[in-house]
Amino acid sequence: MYRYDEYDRTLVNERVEEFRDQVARRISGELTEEEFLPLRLQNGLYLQKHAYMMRVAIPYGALSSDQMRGLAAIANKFDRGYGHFTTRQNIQFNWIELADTPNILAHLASIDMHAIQTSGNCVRNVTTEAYAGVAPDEEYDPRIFAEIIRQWATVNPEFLFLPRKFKIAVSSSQEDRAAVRMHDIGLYLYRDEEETLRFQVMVGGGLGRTPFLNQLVKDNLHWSEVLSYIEAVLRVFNRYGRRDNKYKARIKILVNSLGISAFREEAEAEWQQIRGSFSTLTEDELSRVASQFLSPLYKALDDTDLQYGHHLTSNSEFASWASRSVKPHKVKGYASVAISTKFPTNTPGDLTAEQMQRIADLADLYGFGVIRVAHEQNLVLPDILKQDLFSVWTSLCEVGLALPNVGLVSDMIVCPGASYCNLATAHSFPVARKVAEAYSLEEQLDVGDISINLSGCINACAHHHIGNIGILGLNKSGKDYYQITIGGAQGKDSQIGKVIGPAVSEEVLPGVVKNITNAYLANRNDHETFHETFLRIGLEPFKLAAYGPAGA
Amino acid sequence: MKNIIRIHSGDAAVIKSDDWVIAEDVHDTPDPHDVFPMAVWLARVEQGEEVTPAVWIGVNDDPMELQSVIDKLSFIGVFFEDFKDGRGYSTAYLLRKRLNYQGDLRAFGDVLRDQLSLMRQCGFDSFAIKEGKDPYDAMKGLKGLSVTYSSSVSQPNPLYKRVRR
Repeated sequence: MYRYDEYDRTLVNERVEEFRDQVARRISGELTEEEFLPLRLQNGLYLQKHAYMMRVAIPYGALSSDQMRGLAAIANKFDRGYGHFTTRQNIQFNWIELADTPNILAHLASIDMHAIQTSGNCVRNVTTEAYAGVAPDEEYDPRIFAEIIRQWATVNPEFLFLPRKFKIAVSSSQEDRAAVRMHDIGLYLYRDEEETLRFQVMVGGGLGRTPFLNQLVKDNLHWSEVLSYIEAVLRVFNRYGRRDNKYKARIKILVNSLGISAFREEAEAEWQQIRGSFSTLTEDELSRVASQFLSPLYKALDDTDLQYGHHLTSNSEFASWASRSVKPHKVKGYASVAISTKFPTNTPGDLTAEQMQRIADLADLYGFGVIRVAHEQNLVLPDILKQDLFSVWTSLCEVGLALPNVGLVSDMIVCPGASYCNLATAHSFPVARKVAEAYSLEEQLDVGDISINLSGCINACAHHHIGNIGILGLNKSGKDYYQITIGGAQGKDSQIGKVIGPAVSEEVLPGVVKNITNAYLANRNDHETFHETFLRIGLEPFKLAAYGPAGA
Repeated sequence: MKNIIRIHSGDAAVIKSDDWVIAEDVHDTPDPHDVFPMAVWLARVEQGEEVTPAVWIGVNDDPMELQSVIDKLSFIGVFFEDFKDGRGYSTAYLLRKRLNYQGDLRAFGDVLRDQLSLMRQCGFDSFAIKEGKDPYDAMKGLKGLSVTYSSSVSQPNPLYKRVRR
């Protein structure tokens, strides 16, 4: 994984000292809150309902075991012993004192981490999928370009006061597991007939109150020109994006008001002016960054491991976990392990310091010391020998992290909601828990792979629009209500879900969701997923079923 | 204008005030240091009237409209209505890189210490610090971080082309 050199380290250290000075000036009153606001946001610091929250960047979701231990230490020392992993592969600490923040950032810097641009109207953490580098269907490791883009965007002086936040995601595999289509810029990296790396660039995605999937703006873009093209898009956005209304300021609004072809012309005209100049990437730089993402030294093994097979047949609990958590790996004899952070034993995305430490230990013992954060708020140990899977499971059991529910109903993606967040209009965690608890494990297995996403407000941090079942918390005369969408999907054929009807109260929500999954069970053909059934039969049967006896 | 920090040959100095006067429109007492809004100035050029070599660019103005007349200018002010509005950074970039403007480029309006190094990197070489703020204090903001990754007006080569990493 990427290790800082003296330049990265100097930048991060100087940034800590710069912010230390800014915090001191805020505390002394020299800086007004209005002046301080964008400075603190661009250093990851939000003011939430009860306290400051710090969002720490985990670039493209990759962590070393030492970094994970560092996060655990921060959770213990500066927070209440836990942290929240987010849908953008970051981690948030919820109970932070302003005066502590420079020291937290200094601690982060000491483990090659930072909180730069995790908030504010700038380019945010560049994300990719949790299985980058190990997925069998991968064409090229997307982390390499994610890191190159991260560096380019970090404290890039022209683009720190954009009309609104700007999110970039990269995927380079047959299946898109990075939700690329809902990003401001989505990048699909592929090899052409001559094996040359090229990008398909999509622009204008974003959820929130006006959800849009991004649209193709540039195809066949040579890899060396990706930075100049992103620069062109950002300059067009910075100059012409709306600034009069926060809710119309994302690039998706600009793209859709101009139309994609007019936007493409603008971006192209700008790009023609700058391409081939200073922003052209070099082979040297690509290989320098790529050399930081070399695979570990894998053993040469058979794909079948007898011990693993034995445990699968003799221990049904282990087998049940493995059927959900063990993911394919490009190297024979290895697997990736998805660790569910979800209900009933956990709160989505939340891990205690002890759990973080355990995962770090497991990564060291069995997995080359590397960990990934998935945008589904789960964690991944990407490189585990099949023969070690049983030991990993046993150890995860001890800290309540061996839930056999990855990809099932109770593996819901849930934002923190009104329990913490200033923006939230409704509670998320307690309601999501009730939905999850309405299903036994057998019922969940019967439903099979499904994504249920619950956001506590229209800002859609839990990406409810692209959940197979999306749930949006609203507030109606002081009471929490939940609006349901169906038919959302992520991946290359992403879709925005459709609202099924009136929002429902917290009490009936679990029943309504269950009515919907029952309608799927009643209508599905063999091996059809929820989304496939939806595509075949449409919204109507679900709509009818949803408000039936159990729900209404 | 007042409360100015000016960079000259790499060194920054505070100038309490200089002769440039930001004007909203033509007025009865013309001054050779009048800085007119871009649209007013362009209209005068078009009508063949004599103009000062100075304009200011508002947040909604397109600096590319100065392309054919850029040689007539030796002072351009870029107005920051709100420091959180980043259009001025792209304006400066375009003036310096696209129009190859070599004259004075001044940020004025909501211009604050913590953005000065970013402005400098985008090609500004003087700053009229917001009224009520101490320019000597603001000067500390010029330094910024010693490491920058991307290319910028002041440092056209990105880090990976400048140093051996």
